[in-house]
Amino acid sequence: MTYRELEKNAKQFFPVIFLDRIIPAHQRKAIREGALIIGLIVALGLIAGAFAKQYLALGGLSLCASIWLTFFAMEAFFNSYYFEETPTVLREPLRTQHTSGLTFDVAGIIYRTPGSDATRGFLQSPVGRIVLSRLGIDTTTINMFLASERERIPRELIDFPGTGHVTLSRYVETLILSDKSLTDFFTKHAVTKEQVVGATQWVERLHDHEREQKRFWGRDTLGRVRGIGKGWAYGGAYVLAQYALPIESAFRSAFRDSSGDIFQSDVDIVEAILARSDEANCLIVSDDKDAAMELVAALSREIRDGTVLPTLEHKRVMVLDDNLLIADVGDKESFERRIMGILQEVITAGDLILVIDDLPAFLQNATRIGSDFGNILSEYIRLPSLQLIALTDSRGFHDTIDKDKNLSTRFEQMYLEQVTVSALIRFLAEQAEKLESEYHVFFTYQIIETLAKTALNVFNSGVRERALNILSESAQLAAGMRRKQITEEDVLSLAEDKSRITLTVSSSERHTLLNLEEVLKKRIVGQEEAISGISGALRRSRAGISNPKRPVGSFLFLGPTGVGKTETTKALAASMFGSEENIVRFDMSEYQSEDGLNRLIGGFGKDGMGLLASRLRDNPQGVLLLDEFEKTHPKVLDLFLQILDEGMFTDAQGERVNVRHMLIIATSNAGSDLIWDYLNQYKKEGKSASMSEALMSRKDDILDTIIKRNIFKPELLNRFDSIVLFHPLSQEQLVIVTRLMLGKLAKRIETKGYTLEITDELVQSLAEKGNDQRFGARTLNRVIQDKVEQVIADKILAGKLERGNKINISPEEIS
Amino acid sequence: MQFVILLPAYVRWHYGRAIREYIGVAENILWFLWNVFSISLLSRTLLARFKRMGEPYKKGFDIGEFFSSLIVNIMMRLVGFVMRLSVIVVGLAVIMCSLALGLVVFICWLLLPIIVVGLFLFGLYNITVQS
Repeated sequence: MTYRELEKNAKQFFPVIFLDRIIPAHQRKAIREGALIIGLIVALGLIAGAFAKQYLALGGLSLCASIWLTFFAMEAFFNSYYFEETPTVLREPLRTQHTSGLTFDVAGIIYRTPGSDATRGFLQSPVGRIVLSRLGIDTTTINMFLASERERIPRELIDFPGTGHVTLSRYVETLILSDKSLTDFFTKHAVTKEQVVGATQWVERLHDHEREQKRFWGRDTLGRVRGIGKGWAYGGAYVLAQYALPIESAFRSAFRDSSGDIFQSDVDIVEAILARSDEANCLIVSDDKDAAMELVAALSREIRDGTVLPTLEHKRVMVLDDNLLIADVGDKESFERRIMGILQEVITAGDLILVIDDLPAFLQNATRIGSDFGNILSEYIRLPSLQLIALTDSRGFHDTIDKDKNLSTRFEQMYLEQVTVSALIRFLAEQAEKLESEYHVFFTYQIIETLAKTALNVFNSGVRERALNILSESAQLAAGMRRKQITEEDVLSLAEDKSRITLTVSSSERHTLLNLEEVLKKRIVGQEEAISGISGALRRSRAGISNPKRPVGSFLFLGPTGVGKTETTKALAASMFGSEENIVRFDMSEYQSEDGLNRLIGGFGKDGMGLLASRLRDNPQGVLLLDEFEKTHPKVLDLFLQILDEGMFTDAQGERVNVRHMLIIATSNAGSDLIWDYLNQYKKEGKSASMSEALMSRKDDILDTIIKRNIFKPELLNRFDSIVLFHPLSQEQLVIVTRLMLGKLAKRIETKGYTLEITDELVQSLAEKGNDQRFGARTLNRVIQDKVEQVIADKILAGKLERGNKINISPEEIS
Repeated sequence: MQFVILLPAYVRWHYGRAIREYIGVAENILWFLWNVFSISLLSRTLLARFKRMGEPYKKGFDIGEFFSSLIVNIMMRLVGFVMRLSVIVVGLAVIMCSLALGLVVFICWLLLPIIVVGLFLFGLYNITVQS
């Protein structure tokens, strides 16, 4: 549709928009109500004979009636167009809809569009102002933009692609695509096109929701009244009524209007399962219990609205309070008698869908009082007349239900996938509106988006509920501080508190990141290529431009022993995560056998979770160090294919483990012989390039050989952010390392009250003694331990040193 | 200028689109009443036992037990029949009244411009001329 066509179609709305402009809705309402009240008072006075001049009262009454009727007709005229595109669930055959090809809001913008400046029309319209306020852009900024020199886009160039009526979001999206100055304006204010469209859809939904509420004559509203005698064809459930509540009362929080479409496809699946002729039982497997309950509530709403399959019409969804039941009966016999009575009632009633909100817990509680409830349940749920929805988390499913084949085969399982970003934004935006009116605060779209993305990034389960908690806590926080605007820092700091993951980059961290090379070089000698590669990858990640669905960084350190691989890891943990304690270290040579994978992620049927899963849950942020990576079992390497790719894995209990806030470093000696060979050759040839540069030039050859030797698969190597080659240390570099190591020793000794004097002779002598090409700095470390530390210890024990003394060790003493 | 287009647009709407929409709203209200009085469901289950109450027929043939159950079940069906029929009758009566009322309102709608002007003039006459 072209802009011209749209303009032509919009003209049918103009009379009512004009009407609304000259007499706004609130004024029309006031006049209507005023005329009605005065008219009623006059009428009552007339009836009571309170007026001396009755003809005057009658005249007044007639005038009031004529005014009321005029404004009633005016309102009907306005509503006829105002509600034209309001979406409805139930079809209304005679409704006037889709006659114009655009919505009332779009017509309102076109009405206010002067000349050919469509952008001005949008930005000046009330709805445009609301959209921009949701994007954090105020009126002054808009006015400055409108007053500035900008290229006006001719209306002829605006074209609305696709079919269907032009909604507000479609209009705005097309406008942004057509008008570069508008795109630049948003870019200047750090707002993306997606955010503009998202905020517009939010405003659109808000308006639709308001209209749905006002449109009381629509079938969606009228259909909610439960009919007389609907339950007369069905039996009563008197015992069940003692232990169960209708879902509307049991989970008020889950029974929110209009959030059902988040789960629409899932609701359809549950509906199809329950509508089957036999074994109509659905097991919803979800780690987010509230999401699962909201799905059931959405189904219940559809039943209420009358938009379900015929077999589910008039059904009532009842949630069983199994804890109350078990606490009430106490012993096995009474429990079994009561639960069988309840299940029989559900069958004879004929209009009930029973919900057990935590089946594994119910089974376990029943087992505690000696009852095999699983067996009883499986006998009943095979009957065609029982419809049951059971909820479980993945762990309970694997530990309890899946083991009982007799029970699990009676259920059709449905896995509720994690909520998507767009669905979460929609949910949070809807909740934000309620919080805004409760706490008098204001959320921008960007805040909602940041919260949704962060919640999905840091929480593994209960994402919606946790995100909602953060949202309401941020509103309370701002209200407490008498602030209207919720800031990004508010939600991020709350998310940090709840997830134990640092999300914001502090000024000190920013400084460290910018100078990471220098920080690392203080501890790592040589290895310039390695340091610059790692530093760049980390800066990208913390700046937020790397893929958030992958770990913070993933590096494979290749090189001989004792060249600084582990030291680099420690230095990174200390500088990036505050302490070397933030390293989760695994010696992968311990996972060489077939059961290595089970030990890491937990085994089926075994109690407890895997080591990797449990340690990562305890330490969600830091460095994951995988020493001797090449020695592990191929199945473990396959696990890391997934971890490096998605930043997530699922343990044996079916629970997801988040690795997206870990810096993964795998170290390996694979290819060390090649590194040696190349460097020996390099020395012989006496080239001028540095060792790092020389090694980098042969990197591809080394990796090819590693792949040919079947040490690592190419797909695994490709998944690392960077493969870093560490070269052996030269004699000069070893001298620097010696000095660093002695420095560390001196610091330790200083705490005991002694001062170690580090002389050039001592350093040179130790560097020569510790020069072992096979073990690198490891040998040097051993030499310092065996020689220097030993000499100092002997001196202290022999009483030759007193506190405050300087320790001077000559090269002869350590020879 | 806009005032000029407002009145003809209103008149066109009043005798065109508004009539279609009036019929749509009236249909919604009739649909609502039909559902509130559960006329389809109650008609389908007119002879069903009330709330499925009754006595099950026991296994083995015992003439006394059989007739006892039969009588109780017939009674329950009878109770159900009377209750349902009552609601259906009341429901149909309400629908008929609504239809009649709807027709009156519809005629009033058609005459609304005249009624408004008439009431206004009548009021004005009473206030100004008579006093």
